Amino acid sequence: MNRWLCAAIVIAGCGGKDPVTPDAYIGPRPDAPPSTCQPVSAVGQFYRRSPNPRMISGTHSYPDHTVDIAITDPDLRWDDASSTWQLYYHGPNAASYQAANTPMIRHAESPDLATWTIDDAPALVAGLDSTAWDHMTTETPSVVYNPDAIPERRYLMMYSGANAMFGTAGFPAYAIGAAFSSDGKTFTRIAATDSPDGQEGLVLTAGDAYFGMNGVVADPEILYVDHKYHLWFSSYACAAQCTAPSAYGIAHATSTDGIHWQVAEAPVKSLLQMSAVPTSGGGQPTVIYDDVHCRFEMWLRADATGEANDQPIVFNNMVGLWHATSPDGITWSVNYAGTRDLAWNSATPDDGEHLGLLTGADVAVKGGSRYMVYSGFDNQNVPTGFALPDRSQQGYESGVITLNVAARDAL
Amino acid sequence: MKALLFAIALAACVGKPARPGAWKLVTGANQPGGLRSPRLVWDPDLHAIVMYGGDRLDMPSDAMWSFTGSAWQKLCDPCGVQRHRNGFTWDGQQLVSFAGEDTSNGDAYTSDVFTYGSSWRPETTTGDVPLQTTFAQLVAYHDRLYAIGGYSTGGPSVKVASLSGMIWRAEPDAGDTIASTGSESTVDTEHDRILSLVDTTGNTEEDGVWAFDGTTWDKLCEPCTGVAKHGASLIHVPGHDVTLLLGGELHDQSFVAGSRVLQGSTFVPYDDPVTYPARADVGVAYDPERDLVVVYGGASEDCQFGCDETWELTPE
Repeated sequence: MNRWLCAAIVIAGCGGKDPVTPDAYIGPRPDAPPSTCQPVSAVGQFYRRSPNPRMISGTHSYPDHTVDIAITDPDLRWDDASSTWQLYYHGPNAASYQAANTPMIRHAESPDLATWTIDDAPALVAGLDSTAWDHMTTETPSVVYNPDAIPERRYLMMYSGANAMFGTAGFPAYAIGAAFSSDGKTFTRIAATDSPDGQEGLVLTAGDAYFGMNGVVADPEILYVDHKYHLWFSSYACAAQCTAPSAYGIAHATSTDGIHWQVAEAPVKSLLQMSAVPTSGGGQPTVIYDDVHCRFEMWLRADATGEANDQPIVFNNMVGLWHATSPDGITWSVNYAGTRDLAWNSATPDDGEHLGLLTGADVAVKGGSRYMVYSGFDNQNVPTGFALPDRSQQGYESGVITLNVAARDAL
Repeated sequence: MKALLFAIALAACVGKPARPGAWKLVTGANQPGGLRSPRLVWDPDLHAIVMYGGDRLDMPSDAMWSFTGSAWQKLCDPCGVQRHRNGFTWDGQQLVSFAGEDTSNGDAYTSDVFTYGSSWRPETTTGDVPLQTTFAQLVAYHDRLYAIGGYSTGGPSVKVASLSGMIWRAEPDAGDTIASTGSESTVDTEHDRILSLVDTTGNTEEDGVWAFDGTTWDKLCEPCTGVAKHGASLIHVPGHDVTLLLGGELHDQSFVAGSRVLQGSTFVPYDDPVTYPARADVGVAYDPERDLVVVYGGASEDCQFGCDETWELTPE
């Protein structure tokens, strides 16, 4: 639990052998004639759906009597073909909360976001070889469906991995990996021979985003739009002893195969709080493409230092999520002087998040509505032995990470 | 590419004696290293321009330097302020630092005041304490220190406050956001006013200047140059009645070369041919004893994380 847990998100697509609608892709392609694009009218607000939480860490026992000690970095999509929600999340697996855990990415499905069927087999497990670049952690999944791909590559999962801490910065030395699947349930890393870095799974490093500098890239969020993969991810670059960032923010890359990436901008200037200041960015993006209105929508974390200090739990907290829009996925508009789409309520914390919010959320599309899954810190229905780091002298309290749902209805 | 070609052409001129109205690179005056958004001010006690802070490639600077005319001499490093992107000025008796980001606390925005005697010390202020901000400007005017704009958690700010006797007083809001990574506020002694560039820390490009007489903010011009930009700097040269607008960065991330001078309510080209380098986010101050405007640091195409050059100008 000392990992820097960042949520990655997806705009996954569905498919397999049957035509399906990707969760974050609706309507015609963005290169469709502009006349097909409808003007954006009123946009509703996100509100939390009752009941929350929808899942509680440690409450599902697998056949081998293990449990997931956390549910973080969720990635959600709606599968039209099966009329089910498809969920991926980082679920460190262990015999008990205190036991050594194995980082892994889980897959679950649900018809209604209420009852979930969690696969016994993980979707992807941390690299088994102790020297693998993603052995220490494999997390923040983002899955997309590509109907144009060969069957064994129809589903692409991007994820963050690391096998060491990043200096003294307090977080792992993340890079980004890729794994494919034919069924969207179990994934296989790209072969080392296919990797631009010659390592199984590895496709994108900080050096690709910031030439000649140190850093990390993490929290991938992938879309497939107009026959091209788009990837947004958290990025951090630094020089020399890396005591302070030289750049921090969300970066953008594109690819035609999901393996070879061209970094378009790092960090994306229009997403910075102060466009003139390359360290003033945010992270953990989740993106959808709305081709009814021909625009991209992004939700991201961009909290000021100390802004989440009223949350009892101290662990990669998130005040809430800012909303950004873009006509092309390149230049964004975001009003940081406004209000967040979802924010922790310190006066009367909501169910499933009485102790705070964990960074990382994902937004998916069903019809004209937006559905958000996010992780909270809670002190209700805590499994025996579960605890979370807090601000007390003791340093921890009984608590558990939950999965919750909010939604924005079409108007 | 234009800026690069210009820089190459400019390099060929380095070493020639400066003429009034022409900017000159001070070769060898690069001891502080690459710095973006450093703060410069004239210190009459030291009889020198003093520079504090700035963003370096690896970490923010907590150093203070004085300029001898040919080189920078280190006064302290670290200086113990642990602020960057702060306001910095001379209040008539001492150097003062205001607000900025606290490097000892995750770069949290602050509204702290420090003063410099033989070392920096924190001050306790009362009254209508300004918002915690970064990139605020601090200028001395009418025996008060004016804290202008900056960027707070609410975005680019129009807020203004003044400080006297360590008691803050709220002042009228500026007419537009004053939040620049450059040095955007200056005191126009000849016309008894503060002049401030409109900026939004780069979120949009701007081309306006507002004037404050201690009571009211009035728009001086918009557009002022015909070139919308951010990260430009403003400096008034007392005695010459010259107000210069320096450089800036455009939306396409190219940098503006040349300086402009205020004539009435518009800024017209000053150095012709252009001698001021394509640059944004510089620190600038006027040395009245040597009658020189001195510029340090900033950002350009070949030093985006901080330039290490000193430029000077003998104003016409």
